[in-house]
Amino acid sequence: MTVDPVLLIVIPLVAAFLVPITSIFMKGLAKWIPLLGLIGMAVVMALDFGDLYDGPVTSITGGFGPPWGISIIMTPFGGLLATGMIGVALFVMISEIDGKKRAHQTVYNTMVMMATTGAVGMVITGDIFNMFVFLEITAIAGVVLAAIPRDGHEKGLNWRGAAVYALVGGVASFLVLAGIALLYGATSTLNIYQIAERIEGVDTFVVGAAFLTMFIGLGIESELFPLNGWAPEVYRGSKWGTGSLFSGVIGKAGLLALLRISFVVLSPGLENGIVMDILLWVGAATYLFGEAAAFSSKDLYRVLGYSSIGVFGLLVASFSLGVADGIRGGTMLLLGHMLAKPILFSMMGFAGRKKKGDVPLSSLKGLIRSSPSAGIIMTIGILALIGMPPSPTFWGKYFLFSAAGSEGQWLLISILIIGTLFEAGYLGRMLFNIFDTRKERKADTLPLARGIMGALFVFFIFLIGFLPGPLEDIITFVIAELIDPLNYISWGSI
Amino acid sequence: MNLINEPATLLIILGTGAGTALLLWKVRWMAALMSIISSAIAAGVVIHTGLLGKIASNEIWEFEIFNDLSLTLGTNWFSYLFLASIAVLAPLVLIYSWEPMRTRQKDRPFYGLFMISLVGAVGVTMARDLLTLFLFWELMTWPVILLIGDGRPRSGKAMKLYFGFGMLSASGILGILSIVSWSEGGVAYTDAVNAMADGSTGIRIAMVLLGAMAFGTKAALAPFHIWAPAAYGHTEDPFTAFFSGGLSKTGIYGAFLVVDVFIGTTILISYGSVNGLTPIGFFIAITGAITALIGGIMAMMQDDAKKLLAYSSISQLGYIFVGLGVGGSTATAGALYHVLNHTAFKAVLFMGLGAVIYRTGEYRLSKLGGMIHVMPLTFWCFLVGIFAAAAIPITSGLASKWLIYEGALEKGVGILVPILFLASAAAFLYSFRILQGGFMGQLRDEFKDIKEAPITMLIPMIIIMIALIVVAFIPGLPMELISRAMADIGMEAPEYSLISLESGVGSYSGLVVMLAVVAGFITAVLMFFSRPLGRHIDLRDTFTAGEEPIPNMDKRYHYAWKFYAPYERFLRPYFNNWIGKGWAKVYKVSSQVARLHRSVMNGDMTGYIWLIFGAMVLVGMVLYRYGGWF
Repeated sequence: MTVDPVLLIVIPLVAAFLVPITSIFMKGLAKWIPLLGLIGMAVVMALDFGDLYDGPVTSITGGFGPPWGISIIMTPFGGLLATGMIGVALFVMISEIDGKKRAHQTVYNTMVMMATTGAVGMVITGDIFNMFVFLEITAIAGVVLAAIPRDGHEKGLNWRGAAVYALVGGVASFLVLAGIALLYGATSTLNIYQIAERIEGVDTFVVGAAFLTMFIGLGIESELFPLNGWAPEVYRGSKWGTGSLFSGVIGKAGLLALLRISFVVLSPGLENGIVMDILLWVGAATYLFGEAAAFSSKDLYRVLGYSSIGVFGLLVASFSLGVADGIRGGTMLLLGHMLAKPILFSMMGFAGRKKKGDVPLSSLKGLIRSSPSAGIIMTIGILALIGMPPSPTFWGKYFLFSAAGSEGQWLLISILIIGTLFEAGYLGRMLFNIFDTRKERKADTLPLARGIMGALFVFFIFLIGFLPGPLEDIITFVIAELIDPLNYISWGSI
Repeated sequence: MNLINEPATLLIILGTGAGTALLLWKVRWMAALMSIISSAIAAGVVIHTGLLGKIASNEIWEFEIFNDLSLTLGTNWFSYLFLASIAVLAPLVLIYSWEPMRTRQKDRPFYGLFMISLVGAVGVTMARDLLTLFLFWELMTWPVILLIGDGRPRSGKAMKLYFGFGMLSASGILGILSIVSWSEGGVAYTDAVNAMADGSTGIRIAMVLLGAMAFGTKAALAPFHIWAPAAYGHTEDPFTAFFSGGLSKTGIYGAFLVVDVFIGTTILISYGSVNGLTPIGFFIAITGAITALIGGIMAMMQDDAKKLLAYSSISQLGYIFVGLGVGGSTATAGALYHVLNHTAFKAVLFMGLGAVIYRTGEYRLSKLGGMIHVMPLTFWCFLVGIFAAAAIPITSGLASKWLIYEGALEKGVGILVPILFLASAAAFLYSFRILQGGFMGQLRDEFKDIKEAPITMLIPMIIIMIALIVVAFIPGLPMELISRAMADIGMEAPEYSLISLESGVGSYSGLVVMLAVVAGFITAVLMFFSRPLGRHIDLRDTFTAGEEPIPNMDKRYHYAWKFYAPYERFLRPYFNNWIGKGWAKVYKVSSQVARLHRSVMNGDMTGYIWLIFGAMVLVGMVLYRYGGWF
């Protein structure tokens, strides 16, 4: 059964709009609106998911077909990512249902919905200017989210993170807009598939300039080195939910936009393989840098933030290898990260909620005794993030290693091994702290909702880890989209 | 379809045991029972299959995961040798664990973790492609980490070392996987063989180095051995027997796989010879010999009995690497023979020591002594284990080392022999230290009322002890298995009959040697009884010649404190854990490098903007140079 995918944008947008309004006169209801919105999105996504096995789900807005109107092209890749984003947003919202009052709750809820709107919009839209609009929505929501301090720090806002993100995000928006202007000027269209169609006739200099600006702009959003200076500042002071959203929703949207613009739209207009090489090595550097930085950080929020940066690098590198196995690995890594990272953020937020200031590694000490369920869920999350089988990350790393091997990328393989060792280092430290029961710690009950969501994500980790087979058909479409631009063009021109 | 022959059957049996043991871990006796039953059934299946001789070497069992990717399992005689030694040891160790674990605080699922790592180890020997190998390798490695923390000081450090080196080993396997995938586009063992056949010298060297990193780590090959003493020294006592006796064999299996299967004799020989060996073989043999020496000397200097045995394990595994490196029919047979022997005697040694620790709660040799008086049966089992470890001819331990030495002599290897002789001297010294410190000498007053080890602990030890002695008469029995295993990796075993072995240099008859030993023993007994029998005197009188220096003084004459102080003074400067310090240095330097990001991410907002423009200029330059701009 196909439902119009435009609902995936409309529902959260309406919900985001309704939250502040209802909160004026019906505080009780306002709390539940984002949840209802997300569940509505999940239902739409669930109904459409089956169709993704046959190819993209499209929709035309306002009765204007392409090339005039804005079209929605939910490719299987976009659909998979949107599913993950809705999942992460649901995870973040449901986990905090524990009857406690939190400061800035209304703003936070609104912004979560806005960020989700923007991120889902970015991955399913077929119009490049529309994508820019969604990028702006996401960025603004991101700035506000970054400003909301974590629980127990209500007095001061996280000005620093918000300011850096606003500044850097502004640069990013400007650059993306400049790139769009260049492309519009050269191809006279804003439909992504049409730009892709016409790109080969465009002057190389214009394409190169467009790539340069869009790469930097979207690279900032997807936390690539050295454009990610804002990320640690944001992760450090904001809520755990914000961290999960940045790593699982906002950044992932930027990542898909970057990949689509680079491989589907611009790559054919440039010298053979140059886009791939740039992305590959920037990705590899980001991975190495992120994992090394996480390894040398003491504050858990920073550790997880840097670790997300590292994973973004890994994802970009594996998608940019340009072989089927690399993309397959990248997709698995993407899923693994979207499942494992929220678990870690959530359990860390739980274990370190009473700490003022930084949350050191030692705040996990004895978690397995004081709160066994949290300890076990977090352990599985950690192992899933390293890539211990059975987890999606394992399949991802396996395919990535064999793809890098089959391409003879020895430098990349060395970087992967060193990065993995760094990764193992800091995640191992977290594990040892969880299982360090030398000091007695007061019993600490994990709130039910948080536990249930954690267990659910653990279940998905095992499900995909044991049975990755059913995803194969979708991954085939992902490969088709990124390897051959003609596929996207044919999907778009319906 | 013969279900017994399906490799998956074994995994399902063990997996069921592991699952139930993990779920029922709070009901410990149930967990123990389920593990013992399932592992015993699995061992039965393994023995049955082996006795029937029904190993279908070419059959491969596939489990599809993706469209073009499946996990493959299979057995041949070569992997059966390792499979059997692990699968048969497991139920014995599990039965042995019953009593010591019964009284232990229920703070971790001991049996569940044990069984998972058993499933992993069995799977490793049955894997037929590198991906399956890696999966089971991880399954085997990680449960163990939760068994390492025994609560003693420094057990946390042991866990961390194990973790770090476990990661290193996993990366090694992934590296091998990438090489093979690069060369052949697949990851089956056959692809690995082709990759080595087609590959350049560089690829082959990379394979050897990565293999040393991946499998040498598990088998405690220097310089990857430093996790082993810490981990063996700090695991739950009953598990150590399986950890050191069983799990380390998967590392040896992997090493054989890389050297003798993937690379193969033909390629090895094509590189000429160094000291009569192939260059790769010489590298492995010399590393193995150095490992044997380091392990032996470090073992000699330990007061902690578990650490002593752990270092001894490193030393013994070093001998196996010597056999592997020397290569050829005799030494390879010796190495495989030593695999079987080491499984048995290391298990019995850790079991015997575990029994002593269980009864006394003491693991320092300087605080033990005289256990022979209170735990005689344990002592005899332990003694046979020590004899086997030191290759003393009443146990089968002699045959395997004899083959390794003969193999080395056949090839006329100059430099190996002195190192191995030094290692043997060290082996004698540490064997004596643990016997003297733990079992001989004066019994402490507080241990006077200690009972013999419980029956469930004794039975497995006695079974292994009997096996060690019986096989000494008939070395042809294990040689039957070894020759089939060698045939499967394309080598010819040395000639053998039921009671004797032949090498290019000489021959060894188990029966004759044992008869000589028995004859000597009978002569000794006759001489002993032909003299007037002595009378039993108090232990203390033995040391004071019947005199009592100060009347009624509780004095100890058991000298085990700083047992080899003079040797230690001499050797310490040379064996001062410099490999461990080297690794610590590597860790420190990489931490410092990792901290470099602080200079980039320094919190300066304008700095970030400059970085972005810098990146833009850089990418622009790349586009200008290579992107066809202008």
